[in-house]
Amino acid sequence: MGEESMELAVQEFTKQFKTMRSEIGRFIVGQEAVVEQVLTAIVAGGHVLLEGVPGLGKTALVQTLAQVMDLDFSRIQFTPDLLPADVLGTNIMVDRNGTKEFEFQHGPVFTHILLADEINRATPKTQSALLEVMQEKTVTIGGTTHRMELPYFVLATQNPIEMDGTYPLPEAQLDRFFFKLSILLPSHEEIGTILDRTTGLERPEINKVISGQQILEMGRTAAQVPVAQEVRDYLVKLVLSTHPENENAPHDVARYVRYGASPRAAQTIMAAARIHALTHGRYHVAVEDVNAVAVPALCHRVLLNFEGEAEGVSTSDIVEGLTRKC
Amino acid sequence: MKEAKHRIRAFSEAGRQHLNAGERRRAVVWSLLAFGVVAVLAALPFVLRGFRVDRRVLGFPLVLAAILVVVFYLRQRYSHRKAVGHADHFFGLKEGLITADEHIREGREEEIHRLQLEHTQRTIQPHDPAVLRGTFPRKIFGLALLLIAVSGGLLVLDDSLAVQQARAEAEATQALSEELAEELGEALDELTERMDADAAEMMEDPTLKRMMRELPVDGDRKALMRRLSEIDHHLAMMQNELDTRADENYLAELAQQLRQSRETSALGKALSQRKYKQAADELNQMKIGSKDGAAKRKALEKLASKIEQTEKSMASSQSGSRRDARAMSQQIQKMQQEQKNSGQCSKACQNKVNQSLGKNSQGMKQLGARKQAKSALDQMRKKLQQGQGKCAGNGNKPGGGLQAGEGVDRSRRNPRESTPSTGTLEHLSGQLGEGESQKRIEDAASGAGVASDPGSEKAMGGYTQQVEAFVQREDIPEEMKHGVKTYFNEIHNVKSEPEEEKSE
Repeated sequence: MGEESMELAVQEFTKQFKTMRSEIGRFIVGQEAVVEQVLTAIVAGGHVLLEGVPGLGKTALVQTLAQVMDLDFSRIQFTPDLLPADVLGTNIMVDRNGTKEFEFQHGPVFTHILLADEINRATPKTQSALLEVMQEKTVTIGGTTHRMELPYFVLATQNPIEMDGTYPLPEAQLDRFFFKLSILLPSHEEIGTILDRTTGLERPEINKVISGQQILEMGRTAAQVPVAQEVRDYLVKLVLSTHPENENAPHDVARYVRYGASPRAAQTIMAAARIHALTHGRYHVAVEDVNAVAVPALCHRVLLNFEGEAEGVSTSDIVEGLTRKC
Repeated sequence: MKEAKHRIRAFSEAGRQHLNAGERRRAVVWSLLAFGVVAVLAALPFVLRGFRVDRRVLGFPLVLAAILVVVFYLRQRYSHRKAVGHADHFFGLKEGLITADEHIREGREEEIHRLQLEHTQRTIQPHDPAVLRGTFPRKIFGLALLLIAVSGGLLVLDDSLAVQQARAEAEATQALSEELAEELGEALDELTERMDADAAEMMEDPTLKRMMRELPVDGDRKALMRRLSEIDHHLAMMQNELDTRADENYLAELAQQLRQSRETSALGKALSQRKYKQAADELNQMKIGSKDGAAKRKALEKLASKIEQTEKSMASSQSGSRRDARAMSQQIQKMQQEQKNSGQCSKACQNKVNQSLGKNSQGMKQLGARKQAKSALDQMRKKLQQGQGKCAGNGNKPGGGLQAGEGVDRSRRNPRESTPSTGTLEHLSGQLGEGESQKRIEDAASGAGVASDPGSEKAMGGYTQQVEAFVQREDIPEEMKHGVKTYFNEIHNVKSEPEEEKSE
């Protein structure tokens, strides 16, 4: 990449990021931080788990995202009777010129943007069907591996309060989510605006402002942002501090945490921090960028012990505490 | 890109220099403060005790401050990377300068690095690295200067009046001790030259010489007085050993008896005049030879009878002269008996009588020498007591005695120790026939025992200690001490005579 092209790429990156954000903002009211973090995860090629009580606009956010991007979109409503074949697809026998043969019927995962709505309502078997596609972006059925078209994102939602008939996501699956984002209740003014936008006859028109190729290009641009040794050391120290057996672990971690974050968490933070730096007009990663993405990247990767669960400790609070101490 | 690199490098280097300059300044200021604190602390003990501050003690804080400057600076000085990190945080560059510095150090020259360097160049442009030097620690510097000024002020303080007086007193005491040692030495030499060889030999005492040699002290008046007291005590002991009173009393009594007889009147006269040397010669002349006749024997018999008569009145005397005289008398009586039995005196018997005469003659000569030596010791003690008087501050001024305000407060003696009563006092009544008796009966069964009271011996020992302690006390005037010593010597002599009578 030439000197001029890199500068242009960075400018393009910033411009496209802003455009996506503003386009989403035409329909989604408030939730600026969540929107920015979802876009960060998408640019970095990661999956997002959105958590929030019903009616906060989780699904609406994902649908708006799909409209903003010129990409295929599929939605799976996870239920307890959903089977892996319903998600991934299956081989069916078809009659072709008098000859019966098996043909692979693609499941809804074969798309660019997959909305896995209420993912924790499906059985672990069905949830696990997503493991390969989320990590390797491939689906293997009947000995044949099918590769996904890039970019590929899984945007899952889950309800944290209705726990009857749900199956909490296993640690392995949680670790595959780039970010876990909590959707909070909008403010008074925001709810008023939501009402204005959604209860009338006219709905805001959302335009497709970015292609899949452009998203991939944005990801490549962000990956080149340099990280100084000092910042990298800080990041590593932060991740290691989430482990209770680590000598730098603060009191809260030592007391309430069962398992700390994996190296994949460090990779996630690094990638997200680079995008955060670019979106904030910098060509290098600062400690500030690491801290900005630490909570969504680590909160679902830090597992509490029994005492932590009993005390009602929040992993987000623990991670925030770490960013202040490290 | 080159320009950006150059500017960033220049900014970092300037920042480092300013930071190190600030650290040097801080090191100097803190070291000055440390110097001031330690100097004041080192000077205070001198000042509080009233002494002039010894300037050498300031060497320690000076060295300490110098070491502190070097150590402080070496520990706190900024390396290039440390300075870059500090500047980055100080100016809020959000690790931009750190990242740019890493690019420059690692030689990274890709497009993204160029962009980052240019971005950093723009962000550092409004900042002045001189700000990194920090503000001058005025309060600490002011405090350091104040402490240094205080320590300087303490340096110029002179010795307090009390210390000056104590120093003068110490010098005077040293001079006095040397003077007294010289005076006493001269007096001893002079007395020894004047006396006979026998008396001079008696005065030869290594302990006394050692004590006089060790008399000079380093300004401690109490030590000097203690040493003078020790010498006086030693002289008194020597005097007691040379005591001639009992011998003289006996010989005076004997002289009275001898003067009554014609044969012994010359000897009696010499003894009554206390011319012991002459008496010794007279006694030597009474020795009998083989050719000597009855006249000498008669004179000896007279001498023996006079000794026996003297025995009646001087039976209690413990003097050596009495013992020698009795032995001589017994030899003469043996000779007389032999003469009566065999009509002649054997050579052996004559020799024994002559030996006895010679022994008595020698004793008389010695008595003269002892008397001379004792007199010399008495003079020495007077000289010593004069010295003690000088040492106690008496006699230095016309009229002697201490001036107004210099007197000794006699009432300052410690009150007697009293046993505090603890708890309820209970009287325990003893039971007859049980427990140890205070009295001790020795050899009671044989009838030859003597009843003694161990308590009285203990009490006597206690009195002796009290008297010795009293005469060694430095706050008692010498005249009083001398009076006490004389009193106890007198009663000792008076007391010893009745005891002798009892024992006989």
